[in-house]
Amino acid sequence: MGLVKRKAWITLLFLPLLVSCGTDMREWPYIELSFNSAEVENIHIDYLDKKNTDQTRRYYSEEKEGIDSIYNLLEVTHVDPKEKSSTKDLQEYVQKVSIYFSLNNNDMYDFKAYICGQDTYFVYSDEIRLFPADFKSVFLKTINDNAEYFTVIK
Amino acid sequence: MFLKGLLASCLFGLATLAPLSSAELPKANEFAESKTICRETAKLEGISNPVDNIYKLKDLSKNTFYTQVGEKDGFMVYDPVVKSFIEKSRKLVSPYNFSEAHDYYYFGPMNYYERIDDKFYSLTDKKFIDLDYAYSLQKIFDSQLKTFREAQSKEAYKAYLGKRANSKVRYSVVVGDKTYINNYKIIRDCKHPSNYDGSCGYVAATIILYFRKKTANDRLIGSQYLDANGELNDTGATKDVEHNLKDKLVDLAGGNPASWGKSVRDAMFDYSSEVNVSASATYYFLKIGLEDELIADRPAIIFGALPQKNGNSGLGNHAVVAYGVEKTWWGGYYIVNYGYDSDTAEVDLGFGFVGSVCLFKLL
Repeated sequence: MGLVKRKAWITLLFLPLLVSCGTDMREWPYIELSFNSAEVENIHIDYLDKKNTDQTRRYYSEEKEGIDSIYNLLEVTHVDPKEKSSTKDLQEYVQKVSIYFSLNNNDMYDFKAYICGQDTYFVYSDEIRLFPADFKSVFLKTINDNAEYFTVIK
Repeated sequence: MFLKGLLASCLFGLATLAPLSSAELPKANEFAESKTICRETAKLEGISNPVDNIYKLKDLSKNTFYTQVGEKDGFMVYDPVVKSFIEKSRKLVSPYNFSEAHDYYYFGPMNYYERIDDKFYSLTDKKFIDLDYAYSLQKIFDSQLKTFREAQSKEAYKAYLGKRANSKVRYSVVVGDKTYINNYKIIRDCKHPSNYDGSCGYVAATIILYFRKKTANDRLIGSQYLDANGELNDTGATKDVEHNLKDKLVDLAGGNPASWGKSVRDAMFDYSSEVNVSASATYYFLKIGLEDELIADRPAIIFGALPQKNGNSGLGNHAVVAYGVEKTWWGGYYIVNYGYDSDTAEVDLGFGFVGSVCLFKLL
């Protein structure tokens, strides 16, 4: 067994013992969207739940409050500064959130969140970024808190 | 890895092909049976290309264990006495390389050693320990192993629980194969702050504080942290130290949401002091104290490399609230709330590595 592999398992086994659980993301960058909230005309969201299929929903909003709630959530979300190169982990997703922003210049911007175990992977602007916390709960809470601004299609 | 594994297999094979005395025959049978069980289990576990051999591990109490590894990754430790696995992971790379002429020693999860004369080389922190220290590890492992072996069947487990039953046990709730602490539904069903900042340890602490508020001391959590229904506030992605109890605990810890046993212990202790409620909060490495805490009807926080929620593969660093057990007290089968969504409010933990625990008790 090479030194690299030995280091790898030491990292895997020893860090949980002495260092930490959870992730300090305070110094990590936030999600950067390439447009302003004011440029969005409407938003479509497909929420796919492979485990609880009856929870699968489609949301739609063209109201400012609904659009802003999702836009603002993403803007305060940290992501791993290191871009992820492989899509391998994404295949294990249990829930997927696909957000489509229709912009007033007729462009469409899509943002996807693959929720896999404790981690979520965001795919946007041709990049894959890790978010090691509970995106699902906060996303659904945001939708629920702003339910009056969304049309829900089961 | 494959070639080295093959070489090690050959060396091991040569050793086991040595003439056997009549006294050694049972050991040979044990080895053959163990090899079959290990290989079959490795396949079921999903270990890719299990190496066609098992390797011997010793301890200082004359126990023998066998380990099965995969060609690239996968690691299992098998106890032939009870024909059960102490550790199983299809993703972890074996800490042992089995390429040296030394004996390999095992003092339980996280305690992997090579013995060189009377020194033991730790494969986790790359340091030598002396024989006295190794015996102290053995003493802890003896106790853990006894518990593990006693708990390998439902009947044995019940007998074990009965033997452990004493005045500390109050009202455990038994549902099928599961034993919960009393009032466990408070933990399972509670609405709690979301973990949107990597603060799983403090989410777990918040759940435990809420449990103690509901069951022991209402003053423990002030109304500013509760909603109109008396449930914990969840401010989602917004940090709010004034209204979100989890954010308050993170703030008390200096603002770093990452945690382990000690940092959460400190925050819970500081919080209790701030609200003038007498409490003790402690932390221990590994699982020390966890079993007694559950028997005493108190939930506990487990920190470690734990299985991914929702059944995804691999382990992840996480903190969870333990509030029951299923069948065994060892490693896996703690019933926990992952502190994420309601889908994972009751999870049978399965195998993982417990790094530390945090215990909280009102005085």
